[in-house]
Amino acid sequence: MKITDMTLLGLVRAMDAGEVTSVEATEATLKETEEKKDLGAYVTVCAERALEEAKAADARRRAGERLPLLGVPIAVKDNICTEGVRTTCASRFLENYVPPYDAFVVKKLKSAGAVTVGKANMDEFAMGSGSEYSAFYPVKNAVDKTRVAGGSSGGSAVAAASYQAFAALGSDTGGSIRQPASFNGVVGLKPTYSAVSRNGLIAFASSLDQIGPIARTVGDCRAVYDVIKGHDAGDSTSYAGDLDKGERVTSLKGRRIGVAKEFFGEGLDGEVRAAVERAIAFYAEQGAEIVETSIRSFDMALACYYILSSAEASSNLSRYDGVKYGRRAEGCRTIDDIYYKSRTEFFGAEVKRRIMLGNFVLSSGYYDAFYLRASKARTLIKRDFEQALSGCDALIGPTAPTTAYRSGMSEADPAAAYLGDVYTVPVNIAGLPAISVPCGNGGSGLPIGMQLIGRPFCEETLLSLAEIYEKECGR
Amino acid sequence: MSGYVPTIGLEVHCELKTETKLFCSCRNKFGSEPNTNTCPVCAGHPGVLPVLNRKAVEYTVRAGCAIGCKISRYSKWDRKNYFYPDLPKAWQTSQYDLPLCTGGEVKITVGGEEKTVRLNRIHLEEDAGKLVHGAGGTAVDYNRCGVPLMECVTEPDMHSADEAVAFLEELASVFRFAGVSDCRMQEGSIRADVNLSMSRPGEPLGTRTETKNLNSFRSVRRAIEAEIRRQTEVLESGGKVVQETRRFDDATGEGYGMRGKEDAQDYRYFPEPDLMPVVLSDDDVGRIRASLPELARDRRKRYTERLGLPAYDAEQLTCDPAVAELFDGAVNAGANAKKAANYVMSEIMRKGKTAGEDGIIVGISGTQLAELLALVDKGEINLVSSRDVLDRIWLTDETPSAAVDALGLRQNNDEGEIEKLVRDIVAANPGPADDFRKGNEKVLSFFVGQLMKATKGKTNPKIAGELVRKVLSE
Amino acid sequence: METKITKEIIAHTAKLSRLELTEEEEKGMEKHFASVLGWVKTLDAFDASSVPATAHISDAVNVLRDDVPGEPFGREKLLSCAPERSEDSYIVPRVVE
Repeated sequence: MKITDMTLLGLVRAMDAGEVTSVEATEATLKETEEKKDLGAYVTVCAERALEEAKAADARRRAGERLPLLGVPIAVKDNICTEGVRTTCASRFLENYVPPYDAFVVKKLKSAGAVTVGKANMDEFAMGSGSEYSAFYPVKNAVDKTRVAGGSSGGSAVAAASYQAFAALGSDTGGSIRQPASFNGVVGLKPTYSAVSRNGLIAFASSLDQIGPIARTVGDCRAVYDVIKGHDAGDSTSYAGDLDKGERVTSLKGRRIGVAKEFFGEGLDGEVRAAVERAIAFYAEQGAEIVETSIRSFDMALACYYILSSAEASSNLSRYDGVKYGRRAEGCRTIDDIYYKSRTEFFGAEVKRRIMLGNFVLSSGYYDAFYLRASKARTLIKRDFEQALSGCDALIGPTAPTTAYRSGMSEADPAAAYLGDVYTVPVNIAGLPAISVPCGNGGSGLPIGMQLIGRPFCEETLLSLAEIYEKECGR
Repeated sequence: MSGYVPTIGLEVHCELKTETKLFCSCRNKFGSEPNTNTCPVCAGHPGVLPVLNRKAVEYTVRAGCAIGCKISRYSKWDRKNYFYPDLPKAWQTSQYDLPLCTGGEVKITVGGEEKTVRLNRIHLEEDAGKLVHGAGGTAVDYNRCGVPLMECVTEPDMHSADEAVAFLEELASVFRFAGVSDCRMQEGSIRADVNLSMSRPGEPLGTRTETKNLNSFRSVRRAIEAEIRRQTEVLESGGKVVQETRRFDDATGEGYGMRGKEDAQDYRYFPEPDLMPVVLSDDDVGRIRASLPELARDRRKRYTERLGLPAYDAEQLTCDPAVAELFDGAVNAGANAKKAANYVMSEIMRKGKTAGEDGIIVGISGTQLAELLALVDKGEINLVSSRDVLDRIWLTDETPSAAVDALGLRQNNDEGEIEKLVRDIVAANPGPADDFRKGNEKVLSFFVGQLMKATKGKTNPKIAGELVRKVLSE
Repeated sequence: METKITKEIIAHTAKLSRLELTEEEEKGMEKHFASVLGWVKTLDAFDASSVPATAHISDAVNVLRDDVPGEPFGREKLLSCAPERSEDSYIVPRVVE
């Protein structure tokens, strides 16, 4: 067995037992990144730095130290700030930006002993669902290179799926962890909003963004989540209460799993539907009660999401102005030149679309009809989920309506591509935790993911429900 | 006579004197080297998040309590979006529809008449950075970025430059005494925008202009006067005042319109997702209200009514909170009110003023002052040598008594010893002594002067005068 | 609510966004706006007057920090990121008001 084939937890056990070293695991991982460069999973590979971290981890382990991720090679999405390591958001604007500080989660990873392999490729500023909108090169699907990786955390998902890391950090604003996890056959957890600090996560839409893990197994996801979660006084939205409201489900007897009919409507691919229905049948066989439920405001979610996320993004991305960091266009003679030319030259087309849309829905005369109305729709969506989840332990449905589609389709009709986010965005609007777990493959061998949605801070309920499925039906 | 009357409203920005900035723990300090009080948060780096300064909220509420505002039980934060190089995030975190304080009023006295200026609101926001324009370009300094700033918006209740300046002076006094802001114009810690329109009595208000960023009482006055002249001329020549944002150039004394800024004034306010609302209970507000120190107006009343000081003294003593604190401290430590007032108004204010143009530095405590006055009173030192004592104990903890000893200033009150010295001096100056006997009283001071010279000023001048007369009259 | 997306709206929004759009991009943007904003009719399904807006997912309030200065961050670490700078400041072309 290759070292890289081990699970994260398996690697930790093997290292603790002295069977492998972190240097060996890191070298093997770096070799994978070399061999699979064409997948475009990384923007930056930190080979030297990673090996130094690995050496240090081995020394600590020899000295008897035991930490949850000591010596484990991990990928970090390139919108998470790493001091001294270029952090680009896959944008030309930040292609030379080296943050002067570490994100909270990066500090957490370091204190848990993790080795940072590199910075994972993504859609520019996390805007996109295919990781084709990277300003540098697209990420290719780990199973089929002619297909998209999903996004925006496509690099993170592909790194985990193709053994270029034992796990990865992604970020999820409207599905950006779960959908690429689903497209590449790995597990992705989007935690409850505020469970993981956003300090150092380069903001896309502040009220929706959340960092979470992507890994090959549920257990590995849990291990990373346990490290990165927690209150941070540096993030005013960070949750200060009990983060462990969930429970470790061991038996499905007496458990209730909700099926909202809106998650199985028009536009859902037949093979995806079939795979998710098989998973539902599995839970029923195991003794769970399957409850029919409804999210009546479901249809509003897409409009609500694109209005709110674009509005926040238009403001968050105004700071890229060519003055303080990042690129500045050549030959600017006035400050307005700097603003217009730099932003026009260094933002990609999709980012411009979101900035434009956001500024429009906030602008004078349109605020009430768009932004304010969407903020009210958000209240309804949140309520509907609360109500649906009051009667069950989790909701189940597909992560995405299709399997990974062919590259190059989004740009033709960008708005149509947004429809692929239909099952993931409502969860961010409601701030809930959700996990995407592989549940089989389509006819062409492409992975399918199912999504479990839980109550706030009940990540463990989702993880353990997923783990039961994974144990019986997983790879 | 045109018959046009100005209507004026002000937006006053005051920097709060917190230790740190509004959303990060960088120092809130004027006069540092450029960009030394900055961090990724206030420099607007990617990924940073704000955390609200508790003190800034308390100070704003305290300011609101000082002018009788209604304190909001629920207030929130909004982003005001616009591009400018002094604003690194390209939005200012401010309060749009739910400010911390609403209403309130300030009483001013102009030409002997008392008037009330109503406030619309006080909200808390962050200050922007500073631009320094040079030949090679504009240098940007973010030290001031994120400094907590109260914006106080008045109703259009003023009708002359005098009233506007009187309002600003009173507001600055209230905030200084409330301990929330130094309101130093020189340092830009208080700045004003002037909204002004002209109309004939009984007619609806005219179109208003906004003159931005006036940073001295003098420029507020000049800008208002210039804008009144300009709008009156426009209206009298049959023209229309254009609603616009203007600047006032202190060098030329002229205002000018900021063209092209108008269509960019769509600030796209929306709720700040990174900051949670502020909710204040009655207890919170009560606690903050209780922390409000006595304001200038109340102190003046107490000084005249309870301490029997003349109105002029009361006015002088409340020119600055540090001065009033010193005076009260001395009185509390047993000093005679009138004597303390006189000493503060002469010696302390002279010495304190040299330190800075804006406000006064007070370098001794009330206890030190009371003791110093007692030493003078008891004749241990005289008034002249009290200045040397003051110089020595200024900005130290030394007691005046210890300073008197260290300086060897303790005054000789021994009549026998002094009389001996007087006799020596009279004997040595037979001419002037004769003059006295012929009726020239003026020579008395000559002899006292000689005596002081001989004893390096350490003789009790009262005893000296009496003994000189006695010896000369023998 | 029907909002007709016009060329003028796109031009004004581009200005607010500090973006220069080619004619082709403007057209693409018009079309894109129309599609996305077309979904907004789904939001007509409720009476907005009876529903409060949600700005934050959590209902936490008064998240405050004590007024205590931290260690200075270090000017050079920040200024070294700037595209143009002097020894102590960020530099932009002379700004005229």
